[in-house]
Amino acid sequence: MSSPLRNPRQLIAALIAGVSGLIVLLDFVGAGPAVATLAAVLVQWAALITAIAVVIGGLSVLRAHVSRLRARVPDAGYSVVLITGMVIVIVAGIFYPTRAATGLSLPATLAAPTIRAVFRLVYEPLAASLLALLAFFALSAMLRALRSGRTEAVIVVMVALLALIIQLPPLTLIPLIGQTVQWLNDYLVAAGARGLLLGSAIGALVAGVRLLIGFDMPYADR
Amino acid sequence: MTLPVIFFIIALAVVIALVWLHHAQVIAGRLPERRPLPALTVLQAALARSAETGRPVHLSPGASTIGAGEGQRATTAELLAGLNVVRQASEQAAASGSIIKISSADAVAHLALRGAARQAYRVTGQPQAFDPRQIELWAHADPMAYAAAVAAQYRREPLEASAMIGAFGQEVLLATETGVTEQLPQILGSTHPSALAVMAVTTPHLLIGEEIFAAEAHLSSAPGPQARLRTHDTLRVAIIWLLIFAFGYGLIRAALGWPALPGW
Repeated sequence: MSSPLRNPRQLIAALIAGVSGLIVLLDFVGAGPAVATLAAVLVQWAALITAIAVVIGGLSVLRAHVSRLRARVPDAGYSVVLITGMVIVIVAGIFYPTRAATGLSLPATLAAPTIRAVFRLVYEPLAASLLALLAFFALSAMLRALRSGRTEAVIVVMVALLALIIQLPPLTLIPLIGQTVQWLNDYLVAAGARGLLLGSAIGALVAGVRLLIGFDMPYADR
Repeated sequence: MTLPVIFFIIALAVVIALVWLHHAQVIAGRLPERRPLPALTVLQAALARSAETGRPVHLSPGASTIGAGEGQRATTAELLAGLNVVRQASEQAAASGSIIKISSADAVAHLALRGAARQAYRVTGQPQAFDPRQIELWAHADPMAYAAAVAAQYRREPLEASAMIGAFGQEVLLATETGVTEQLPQILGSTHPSALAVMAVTTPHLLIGEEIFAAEAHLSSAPGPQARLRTHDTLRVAIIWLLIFAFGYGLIRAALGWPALPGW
């Protein structure tokens, strides 16, 4: 990768990214009202860019599925369902007028009655069904893991089974079981989770700092 | 300024100094020692096979997003880690003529992935081979919908392998279990304990926690990733020593009547 100091385009990109990141970071540690105002403006811009990205992403999805329909691929029916769903959600969320005290008004948020109804009647049952399926998937994965005999998989399954069994109501009545489970949660489980968290935090910190000082520029063309 | 803020600024200054030092050291030829990560060898082998079989390798930073909503855990760092793996894998694909299919569950991540893949093909001198249709947005801000989309893709299209490295929850089981039934080699990585538990059950090729941040250094010999790995290692050792010191201090302070450490 060429040095940003030798490439004006990269230098400008690194400066914009670095200064923006620094302002938001300083606001995070409480550097005063001026920095807070600047940081708020930057966060608003980021939200705007995200909204534009969502529009571009939506168009990309639409284009991909329209081309599937044109090519008459065997499972193009799914594309019809997707495009229909997309149109319904967009119309319900943006263009479907609802009766308000001052007359008809277009939905302003995702809490508007029409879009809420679409979510409640279509999305939520689907999401709940998928979530319910996880139990069966977990059972199937557990049986396969036990058959495979892989050490780490067997350990995960055994620990999961043990955790389930010792939380059964009759067992909680046995003396010491409750305290033992609590001790395991407080020390072994918390230690493992904190170890993972610390490792990830170091990775995140280093990735963030390198981005901030311009050593890594995933946003810049090379 | 409060004590945590002062501590934060000092820690940040130390990390910046370390990043600078390690970058200079790596450029001078002092590379870090790397322990093998077999999961990444599987990914590289799958990319090599893909050039012969013509079956694509699926690459994904998972359901990672830029930033986080109210009350949600931020997954930007995991997204950056996944993005780096996708870029390195894309470079190998561009160089060897392998086919890749990249997916994401965030609109901004989708654009970043397009940029990363385009750069990878350009860097390897194959800009004409880059096809933006290789990068698809399968969901937005909905990990469950994304997992369902990945599962559907596994059933629909024969893949050489699938590498999903980034942020996931337990819903990833929907995709990985389908991958197992399709006999698809899966390379999975996450920092979330509940996702790691289900991943460990479904695949032997697993990247645990910080390994997803070290993955790029294993896939590339460029100085940037190597320097990052050196800084990771140094900080990890420093934190381990700090923990040991705090533990030891906690043991003897009561006997000697010393004060407690701030914040403990």
